[in-house]
Amino acid sequence: MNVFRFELRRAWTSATVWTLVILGLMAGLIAGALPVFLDSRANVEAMLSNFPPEFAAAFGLELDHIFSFGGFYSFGFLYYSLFGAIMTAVIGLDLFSREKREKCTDFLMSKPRSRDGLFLAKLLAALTLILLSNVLFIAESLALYRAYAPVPDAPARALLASSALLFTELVFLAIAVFAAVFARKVRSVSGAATAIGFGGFILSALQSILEEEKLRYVTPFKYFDPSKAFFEGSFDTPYVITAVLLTLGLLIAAYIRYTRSDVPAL
Amino acid sequence: MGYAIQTSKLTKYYGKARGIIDVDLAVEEGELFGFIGPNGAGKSTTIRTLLGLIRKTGGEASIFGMDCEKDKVKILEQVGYLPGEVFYYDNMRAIDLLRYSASFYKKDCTGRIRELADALSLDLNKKIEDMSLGNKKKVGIVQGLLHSPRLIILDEPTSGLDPLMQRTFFDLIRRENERGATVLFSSHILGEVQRICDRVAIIKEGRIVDLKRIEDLRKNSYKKVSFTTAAPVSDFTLSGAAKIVQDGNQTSFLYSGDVNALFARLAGLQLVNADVSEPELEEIFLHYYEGGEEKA
Amino acid sequence: MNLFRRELKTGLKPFFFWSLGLFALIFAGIVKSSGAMSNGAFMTELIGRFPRIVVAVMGMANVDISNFGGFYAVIMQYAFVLFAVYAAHLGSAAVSRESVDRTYEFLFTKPRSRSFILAGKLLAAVVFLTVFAAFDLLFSMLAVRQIDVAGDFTGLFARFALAAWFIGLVFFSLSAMLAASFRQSERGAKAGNLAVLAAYALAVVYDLLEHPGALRLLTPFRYFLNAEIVELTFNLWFAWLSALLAAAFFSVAFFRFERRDLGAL
Repeated sequence: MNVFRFELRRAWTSATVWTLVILGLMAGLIAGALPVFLDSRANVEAMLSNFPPEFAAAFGLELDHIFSFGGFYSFGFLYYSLFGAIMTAVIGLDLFSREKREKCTDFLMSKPRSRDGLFLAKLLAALTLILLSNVLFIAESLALYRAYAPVPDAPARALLASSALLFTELVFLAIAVFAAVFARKVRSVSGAATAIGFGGFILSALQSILEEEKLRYVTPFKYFDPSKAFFEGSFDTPYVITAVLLTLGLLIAAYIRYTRSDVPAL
Repeated sequence: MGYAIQTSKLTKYYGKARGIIDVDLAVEEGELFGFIGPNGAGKSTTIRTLLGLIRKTGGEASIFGMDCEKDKVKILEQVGYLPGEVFYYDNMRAIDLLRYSASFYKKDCTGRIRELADALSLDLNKKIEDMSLGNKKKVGIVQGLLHSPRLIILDEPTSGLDPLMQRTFFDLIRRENERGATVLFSSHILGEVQRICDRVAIIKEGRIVDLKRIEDLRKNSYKKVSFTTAAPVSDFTLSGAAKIVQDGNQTSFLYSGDVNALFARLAGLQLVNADVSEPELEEIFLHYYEGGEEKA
Repeated sequence: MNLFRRELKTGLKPFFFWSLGLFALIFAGIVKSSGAMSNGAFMTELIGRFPRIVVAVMGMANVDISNFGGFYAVIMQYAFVLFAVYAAHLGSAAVSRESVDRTYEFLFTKPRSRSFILAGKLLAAVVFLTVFAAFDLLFSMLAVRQIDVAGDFTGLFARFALAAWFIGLVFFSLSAMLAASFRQSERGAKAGNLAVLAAYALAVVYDLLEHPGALRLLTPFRYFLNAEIVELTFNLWFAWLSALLAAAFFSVAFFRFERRDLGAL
């Protein structure tokens, strides 16, 4: 469909750049630091032997978890998802506020295409870009897993863990689409996307520091925890449900608004 | 031929503020229909409701017999819309935008694009954002006509075009009309409306206050006469003349009546200069704009 | 001056939201810190055993979180990022607002020089930045009252707030300069944000290296080191550097702004 192709063409460059950044970062972190990290285990164990075992337990320090591919992967994941969130927010905001920003809503909406169709075309374009980006991400994750994990015997779990990025990005897409459709004015896509991404990032960092489980319901970065995927083979159901509900809710609200709102004269 | 546009008690309220109230229109297919009124009268609101850009609060609206809300997509395939203010996507050349526009219609418009661009002297390879206002307007015109629509809706179409281009534009519109297209023409510039429309509707404060054929307007109206004589004329009188103003050697008045009688009277004077003209549609309509209710 | 007042009014809404974010960060961080601090010595030792890269990426390098001061420093790392992003927004918004809103024909045909106009806008933005830093201090003071910790940290808070202000100033002026130098305002905004991102990455690299040396100059996030702040010194040298950089960026911004073609976006 022409709208689909149009939006794809307009948004693919920035999506590509961000994808390369994420891929590069991950490769650098894992290839560069994982071996060193795993080696430091002995050091940490030595230190822990000086403390009573209750300490380690109190901190939930499962050395097997931390000093594994999965543990290290999850640690870097916060940063991949930050960039992923910004990339997705840019896509969502760009596609859904384009006509509003460039003042050509009249042009598109007086074409013989239902508003449903337009919304769908834009959504599809966004999803395509996100999917392509994540296919590459998952592929690289698996490759790095095979190459660097000390015992790469659970590729299925690696697959699940790396798909956490895809799901997290979908939540951010919904947030961005909602914001784009409901905002009266969108002055700067990159500014708003950065704010959304960083907002989520800070919420996540806070949640980590404070270790407050309840906060997880409002931190999109933590709905899909890759470490859980690695060690338990699944994500936490209540958060998955939250994510799904949030995503669907926001998208449906945006859809209704997009298809029913009046388009005022300039 | 059926009706191209038909509305019955079409109403739109923006919250509590009135947009349009009980607008009844019936534009026949093949007509050149004018739509005039002061700022804020509801011209844009009516048009945007017809196009489905805003939702009506009450009443009915149909184009080519199809309901504007339910069959919007089918209707839009045969409608070309030229809006007043023209903005397009950044970073696009005219030809890119026109091709994108054409891709929405199920026909091949490349020939038409070239044709129209040539007629308007439009450089298709220029970026739209780098164009002057007039050229942007031209892109808008081509964009609205490239799919040879059955109904053309124009909203202040010639603002920004130079007089030569305006004439070219009207020739284009007339040719479309000869081809069978219906034209709904909303404008402030009464001279334009006067020039090409068959009928005209006047909207004021959200309601249609009048609907007339242009010729009927002319028929029942007066002529403007003014002349200069070598020496002041004392007590000029003529039956049928009204609002006689005398200023030194100049006399002017409004005349409705037999033209022969008028010229016979003037022939009796020593004229230096004389001017007999049709009133501008403006003068006829100005009282609508001003708020008075009496007819011209 | 009406321009100044208008800018203040327009910037109020974003300022409110950013302040909310700052509030959440500081309050949540401080109020819950007591729990996290109870085993501080253990944590610090543990962190010391992890490879530098892990610690650096988490923003916990060069910090002693066994005491409140150290813990607060970690929270401030994130606050610095918040300051930087908000400052970048302030800078590019001040320069490009009329271009984006397409109201430049209105403003710039008034009998005022462009520099005068830009000065007014930048001044209003600096007011926001300053109040933001003041809020940082205020929120911290309010939050620390909610928990049971010995000592008066007002001085510490003030020093961090000052550091945040300087960091914000650098990114603000940089972003203004970038916005004035690009023809398309969106590109300028992207460049400003990219600068923040790059600076953060460099800050992490700085933490990784044993002898980072001159790298410090490239990343405003490390102009004021945690160690320096916690131990009561405040690096004047870098404060001056920040001011100088800001002055330089502003000059270029004014220069470019004066000469810019105001036309299509």
